[in-house]
Parts: sequence; C-alpha cells; structure tokens
Amino acid sequence: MLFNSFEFIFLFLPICFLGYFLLVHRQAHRKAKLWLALASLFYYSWWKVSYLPLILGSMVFNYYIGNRLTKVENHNLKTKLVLWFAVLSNLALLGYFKYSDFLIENINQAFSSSIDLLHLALPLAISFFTFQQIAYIVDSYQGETKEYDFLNYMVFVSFFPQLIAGPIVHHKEMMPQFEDSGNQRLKLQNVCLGLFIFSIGLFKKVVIADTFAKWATIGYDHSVSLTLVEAWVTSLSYSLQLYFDFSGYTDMAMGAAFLFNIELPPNFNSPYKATSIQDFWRRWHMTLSRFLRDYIYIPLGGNRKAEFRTLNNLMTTFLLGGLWHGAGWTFIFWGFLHGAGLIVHRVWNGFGYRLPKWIAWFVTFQFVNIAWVFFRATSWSDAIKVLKGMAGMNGVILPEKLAGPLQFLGQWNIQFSAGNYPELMSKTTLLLIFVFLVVVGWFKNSLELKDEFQINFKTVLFSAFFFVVAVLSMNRLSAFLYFNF
Amino acid sequence: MKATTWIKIWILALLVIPLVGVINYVIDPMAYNRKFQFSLNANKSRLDERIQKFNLMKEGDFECFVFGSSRNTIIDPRRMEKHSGMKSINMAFSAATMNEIVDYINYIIVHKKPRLILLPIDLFAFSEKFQSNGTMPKELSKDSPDQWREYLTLEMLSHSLDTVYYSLNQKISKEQQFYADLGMRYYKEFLEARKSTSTHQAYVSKNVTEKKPYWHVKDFSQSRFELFRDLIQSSREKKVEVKVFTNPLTIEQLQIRESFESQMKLLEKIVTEADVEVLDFNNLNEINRNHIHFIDRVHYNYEISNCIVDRIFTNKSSCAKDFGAVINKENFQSYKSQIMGEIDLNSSDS
Repeated sequence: MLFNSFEFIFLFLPICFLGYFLLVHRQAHRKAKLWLALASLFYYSWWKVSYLPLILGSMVFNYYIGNRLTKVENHNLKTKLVLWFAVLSNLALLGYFKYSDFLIENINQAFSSSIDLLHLALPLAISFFTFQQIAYIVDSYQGETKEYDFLNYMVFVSFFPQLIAGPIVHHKEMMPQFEDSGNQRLKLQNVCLGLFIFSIGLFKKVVIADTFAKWATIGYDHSVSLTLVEAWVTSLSYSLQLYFDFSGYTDMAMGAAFLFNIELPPNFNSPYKATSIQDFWRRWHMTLSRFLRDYIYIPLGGNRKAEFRTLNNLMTTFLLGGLWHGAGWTFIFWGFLHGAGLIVHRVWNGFGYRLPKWIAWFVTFQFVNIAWVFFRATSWSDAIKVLKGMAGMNGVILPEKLAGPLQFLGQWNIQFSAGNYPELMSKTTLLLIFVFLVVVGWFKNSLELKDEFQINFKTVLFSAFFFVVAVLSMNRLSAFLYFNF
Repeated sequence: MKATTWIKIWILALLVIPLVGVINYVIDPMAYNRKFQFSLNANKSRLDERIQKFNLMKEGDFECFVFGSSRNTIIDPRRMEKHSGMKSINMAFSAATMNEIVDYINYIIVHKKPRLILLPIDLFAFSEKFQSNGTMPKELSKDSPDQWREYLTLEMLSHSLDTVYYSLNQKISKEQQFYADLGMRYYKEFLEARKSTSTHQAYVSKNVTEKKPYWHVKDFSQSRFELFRDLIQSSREKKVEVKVFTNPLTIEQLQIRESFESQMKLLEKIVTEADVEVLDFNNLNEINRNHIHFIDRVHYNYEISNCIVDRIFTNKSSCAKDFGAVINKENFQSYKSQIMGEIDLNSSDS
C-alpha cells in the first residue's frame, strides 16, 4: 500500500485517523495509541504479512535489550558484550536479507565457485527500522534514554508515516511526542497543515517525479547508446525524478504525521541548492546523514584525530552509506565518489580557497548529477553508456528545429534530427527539465512553506488543487525509489 | 478563516474527483462501457485504434485477419474477403509492435476461429527500442490498473473533452464513416487531393518527394523475433495459415543502408529460423521507385494496398509486373546479393 494509492489515501489514512481520534475523544488514550500501532503494523503487513513477525521480533528484542542497558549505571565487559551482541544481531538480520546474494555473487566471482543465490525478498523498511533501533540501543548503553513504555516504543518504531522510507527518526525527538498527552487531542490547525503538506508531496511524486521517470527509464534501460543531448536529458531526468520522488515521499510522511500531531524531523531541505558536497549532505536525506555522523563517523574518531585519519573516516562513512543504499558495487562506488568529494572539499577549504557562489553551486550540482548515474545504473555498462554519451563520445545530435539557426555547427559533425529516442529530444522534455531545474534551485521548499503556513483561502485552494490534480493523475502505481533501500 | 472552514472547502474540492469519474463514464471516450450513446459522444475518432479495432473484431465471426502497422490500416477487408471467401477484418493499428500483435493473435486464437492471418513485417515492430505508446484494450492489457481507476484520470478527461469537441464540431462524413465501418484509416487530405491528377501530384510532391527519408529504428531484438517465431509455430499447430509479407517503402527510405541491412538480417532469420516464406515488396520494384504510389515517405496508398492483397492471394500483381518477390530459405542468399547490389547502385546514383 503506497502513499500514492487510492487504498492508502481514501481508505487506510481516513480510517486510521478517524479511529484514532474517536478513541481519543472517548478518553481511551492508551487504546488510541494501540490502535495507531496496530494500524501501522497492518500497513506494514499489507505488503507481505509473512514479514510481520520479523519487525515484531526486532522490536521486542531491541526494546528488551535497550531497557536492560538503560537500567545499568556502571557498564562493565558484560554490558559491553550485550551491546555488541545487540548491534551485531541487528546488522546480521539486515545483512542476511540485504547483502547475502551480493556476497555470494562476489565469492562466486572471486573463487570461480557456484554457490546458489538465496533470492530473498528484501523485507520492506528493514534498512530504516534497523538503523532506528541500533541508535536506540547504543543510546541506551550511553545512558541517553530512559525506561520507555513498550506501547510508545512500538509506535515509535512502527509509526506508519515514517516506517517504510524514513525519515530515520531518533527516539529523543519522537518518544516525548508520543508520551505527551497534549498531542492526543484533535488539533485542526495541524490537520490543515498535514493536508497541505501531504498534497504538495503527492503532487511532487505523481505529477512531477513520474513524468521524469519515463525519460530516465528510456535512457537507462531502453537505450543502446546515447548521444550528447539524449544522455544529459537522461541523467538530469533521473536527478529530478529522484529529487521529486524522495522529497514528495518526505512531504507525504510529514503531512500524514501532522494529522496525528506528530512532527517528523526535517529530511529534505532543497539539496540541489547546495554549494558544496558538505552542504549537499546537510540537505539531502538529513536523518541518514545524522545517523552516519553520530553512529559511524564520530565513533570512528570523527575529526578529532589527525587530518589523514579524518579523511579516512569520511571515506569509510560514505562507503558504508553507499552500501546501505544497495547491495551492489555501483552503490559503493557512488558512496566512494561522495566520500572523495567531501575529502576534496575539506582539503580545498583547508587551503582557504573560496569559489564564487554560482560556480560552487554549478560544480556541486554537476558532481551530484554525475554521481547519480552510478546510483541509478543497474550495471557498470549502463553507467558507462550514459557517461560516454554525456561526454559526447557517441556524437552530437541536436533537435531538428535548431537546424536553421545552428546549421554552421554541421562543420563539426554536429547533426540535426529527432535522434534515436525522440522523447528525449522533444521540446516538452527539454522545457520541463529547464523549468524544474529552476524550481529546485530557486523556489521555496516544503519546509519553508510549512513554516509560513497560514489558514486562508490561498492555502486551501493551492492544496486542494494539488491534491485533486495528483489524484486524477494516479493512472499507474509507481513505487517510491527509497522503498528499495 | 477558521480551520473548520478550511477543511470543509478542502473536502468540498474533492468532489471534483467523482465528477471527473462521472463525466468520463458517461462520455466513455474509450468505449469501455457503451452505456450512453448520444450526440455528445458520437464521434469517438480520438479513440485509440487498438481499442477501435478490438471492439470491431468482437462483433463479428471473422476468419481472415490482417495485422500490421499504420501502413496496413488502409487494406480493404472486402478485397481480402473476395479472394479468400472468408469474413475478413483489418486489425492493423498505428505503431504496432510485435508483442502487441502477438497478444491480439493469441486472443483471437482463443476467442475466434481464425483460418488465415496476413502478417506484415515492419522492422520497428521487432526493435526493443520501439515502445508502443498506444492504449491496449482492457482484455489484452497486462499492466493496466482497474478500469474504475482509469475513469478517475485527467488523461481520460482529456479524451472525453476531445470526444465532445469532435462530436460537436466535426460531424463524421459519410465517407469517413464508410472507412471507419470497414476498420480502415481515412486519409482525408489525400483522398480529396486524389480527386484530380494535378492536386494528386502536388500532394505527392509536397508530402513524399520533398520530405527527407525518416526511419529512426535501425536494429531488431532477438526477444521480439522469438515472439514472432513462436507465433508462427503455434499458428501451425492450431492449423491457422499465416501469410507473411513486407510493406513497400520508397526507394529513398530503403537506401538508408543501416536500416536496410537490418531489415535483410531480420528477413534472413525469418526465412531460415522461423522457416516461413515471405513475400517481399521491397524488391526495388516499380512501386518502390515511384513516389506517386505513396501518401508519405513510409505509407503507400489505397491502390497499392489492393495490389498487395491481389498479389498475396493470386500470385499476380494488378499494378506492376515486378511487384513482390517470394523469398524462402532456399533462395534467400541469392536474393539478398541481387538486391544489395541493386540498392548499392541506387545509392551511388542518388
């Protein structure tokens, strides 16, 4: 049941909302919370009920260990071992489902063996709830948690708006909200805000992201080779698809949570406005960056050690970040590219150099755009195909309509035609790419719109228009890209 | 404004969604339910040919079918009927890909009693690069959402508005209706131009001679070829005769070497691996060489479509002596060398 499905929008969400506040209205606060937890588990099971015991078992295990660790004031070897056991168990579970086949493939390749692949279906959200709970038990060990109620813990892990694709919420920001009885009453202001943000997110996903998806798919999956313009259209289409897909999902999660008076942490803050790679990671998937920083980079030593060690920590963190996104060498390489980008940025800053803002923006955006090629491509050859095209190595074909004014370019072997993939060269495609690059680079984002939100005619008409158009554009169901991670 | 008013307006705006559904259901531009037939939805000319043809096919006990792309949409089923003695239908539709054609044929094999299928070969139909953008009928669509959901879309609303617009502003002429009933494409401008020799020549000059050759597909995929091969095999098992032919193109179109070589490779696979005889109308005959036989660079005209049918059924051509050559696994190599030699000659001449 995707956020952009009729089942979710017109059945699950309203029923869940009405049931919750009906119980709240009857002063049955614990029952309301239980309703929310059960509804979230139902939502999870909709995808595959056989994985319900997995998330339940994971919650019970981590809650038990976390509570035990919280109670210990002076840690010893035994509690340290318990901590490591818990962390490794979580990682083993994730590794088994997500990385087994990747490992087997590499063993087979390295040793010419023929071990059968397991072909396991990746349980939905496993990467997210595993990280969320690792953070909880590590913090429990460090004495940064208190003894939580199991029902609240269950809602914290399974709360449906953030369960499937984040944000990767932290117990410190969520548990107080679930425990606060003040949040258990209907706040119409939040309902309006929730519907407003949810509508924007739905529009981003259904109308914008899915439009760019068509062109990205043609370029990556259906093309044999791409000429210069086709390759750039392909890569930019994917960059925009991913942007609107992920920010759309984040908005919808945030909007749905607001209906229940829960504010999710910001996860997406106009990343394509970034003027450095460091800035990019402060804006893109912010809760993942926070997790990687707090639970990998800092424990490795962060920037507290020698410079070389700091750079090494950065690279390790991003290689693991790449691996988290997917079990494949292209993902690891994508992580490597970002690690390398951060290292270059740090060294550059160390020399005290500063680029003009617009050049810094341009360089950052192009770097991110090129790195996404490895993120999207399903194989090295696909990535190379797109990059070769972007470098003009498969020739340059410009749209036929430019043949008149730009005919003189013919002397440099530049041709004019509809190309091999006319959809990638059409005026509409080029125009939409330009328009939405302007939108992502200069327009206000959802966080800013949320902060400025007021209850008035403008916001209700804007929101209703986006919602209605999006619902009427839901011709096909298309999953969110981050559901795969 | 109060929050309750805000929410009420928001919910009220949602009524647009069922309203769109009702409009689409009543206008029914895709002819899904056919519950309401009135002047506002009389002209469903915007309807995808795939669905039009499918609806037409469901209504009769047809035994003889012609498939293929837009090039074949002008084949007259009455002529097929005259030669075969079987009730015939034109099932060709624009930009038909081999996978779509296979889906249709599999359907008719199950639901009808086909005895003869005319199956033209277009290179693009075999290319993985060429993806159909048409709408398949519900009965054949594999990835289509539930029908009720399709009523709730802006895409269908735009078809509904088109239908209403065309129904109000463009009454279907008798001639257009005549072609529609036969399942044939109606090239209005061409048919009007053809009424006199001078306008016909001017039309051909503008739409054929002065246009650059255009063919953006230059290869074919093994998977689509296998679909074709399996189709031939299963038709044989079901005792359905399949006659395979190519669509004639202008000489300039054929001189796109990469495409032509791919087309020859495809034909070679068809005659050798699928072991089927092909009637090739691109043997650089008189029709290929004269623009007057075409509506545009890649579409031959109505007379040629009649000649094709005559040639298929009688082995005699009614329009040019050299129109069509039978190729099979025995003669393919010699045919190929001869035709490649001639096409080279033409390339160097031009």
